[in-house]
Amino acid sequence: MDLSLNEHQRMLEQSVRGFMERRAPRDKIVALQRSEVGYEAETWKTIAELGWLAMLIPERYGGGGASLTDAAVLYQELGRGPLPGPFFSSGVLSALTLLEAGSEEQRRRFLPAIASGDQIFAAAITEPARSWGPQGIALTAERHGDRYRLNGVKLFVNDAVAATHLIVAVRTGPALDDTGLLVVDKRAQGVSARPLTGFLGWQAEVSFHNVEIGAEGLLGERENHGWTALARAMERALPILCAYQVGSCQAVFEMSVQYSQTRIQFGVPIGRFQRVQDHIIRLVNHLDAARWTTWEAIWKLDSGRPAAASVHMAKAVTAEAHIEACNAAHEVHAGIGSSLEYGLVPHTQASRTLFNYLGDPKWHKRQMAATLEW
Amino acid sequence: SAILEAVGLAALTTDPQWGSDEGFLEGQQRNGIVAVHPGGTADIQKVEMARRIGIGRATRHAAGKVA
Repeated sequence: MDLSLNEHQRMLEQSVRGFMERRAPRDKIVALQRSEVGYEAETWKTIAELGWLAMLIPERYGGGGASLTDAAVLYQELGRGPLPGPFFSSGVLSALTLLEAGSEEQRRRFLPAIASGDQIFAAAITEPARSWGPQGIALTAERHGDRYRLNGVKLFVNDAVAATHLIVAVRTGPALDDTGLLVVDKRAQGVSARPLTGFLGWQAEVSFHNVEIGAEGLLGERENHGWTALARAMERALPILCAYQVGSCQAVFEMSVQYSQTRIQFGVPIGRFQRVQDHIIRLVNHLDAARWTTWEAIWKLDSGRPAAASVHMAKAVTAEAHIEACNAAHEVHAGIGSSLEYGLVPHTQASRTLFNYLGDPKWHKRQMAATLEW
Repeated sequence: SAILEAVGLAALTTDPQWGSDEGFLEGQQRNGIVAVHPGGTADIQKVEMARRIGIGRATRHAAGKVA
């Protein structure tokens, strides 16, 4: 198992790191926490021009046709910010969902716009008081001739406020897999996205009131197996999300080591105290667990090996590791770490927000066990 | 994380419709990163406690004097 980066990937890593230092230093990341959409138009445009939104889209649809490893290198560096914004929602999760579920015509219609950044997609899956999984999809798409009508709510939709389009998971029948994926223009009459306030990043309530969508908006023109297609997309998307979180863990590790070397208390750097060292080593253990489970999953996917179990494991481990790494960093930093301006809190907020995103650790562990037939 | 497992993202929002009453859980999640170091890092307090108990030392570390 060779997890080393090739020359192109190392150059990409340095390029993204330089971009982050110039365009998204710590004070910019802190300022973005107050933004309703989580990104600046200029940064979005630059990232689109660099081709970073298009990495996982095949060239025939205007994309870069890059590997998952390439994309993971990018997102690991973005996670060091952590740079907020609908980059993952649009360029990774939605793009991969369109590739898995969409017809050729739908791919040609939507993917170039995602690649260019002209359209921003977000996936609306979870609902109030419903669990994660196909059984949690209750929002019904009522068929009326050649149109569907939506009435209901999707909750905790990542990047919905920034999005121009939504991929909405809907129920089309009573059987478990009677689920479809509808592309909804957010400007359509009856669609509204309301940002949710709190210690979470860019989540929204999306309401649908008598929203009418033409049948051509149903991905793959299929009224079933929508969750199955989404699951296939998530198998490739989740490790990229994990890479983002690994980058965040790496950043809080570096912050903690630096602070332990410069903060003087009782006449010595606090890193001299064994208890402070314990916190940093705990952080390292979680960082390494997240890093290596994530990169193993990516290696398996890129080399065409069965990867489902590894993906579930990576997601579960990384979600827990991200929270624990940030907790350990706060133990090291004490009061200064709680200040928004210091730059640790954006990582902590991300760790909490992403814990349940696309399935919580317990769900993924159950899926891993099921995949391994335990 | 136990609360996040049990309640999900509702534990992180102050939204009057989808969060807990008056954002109680959100406040708990936010305060959680502060509460680990009340009035100074708890670890330093533990070190001082151990020294004053005399754990592993021949002489107990004397407490400070009030000015």
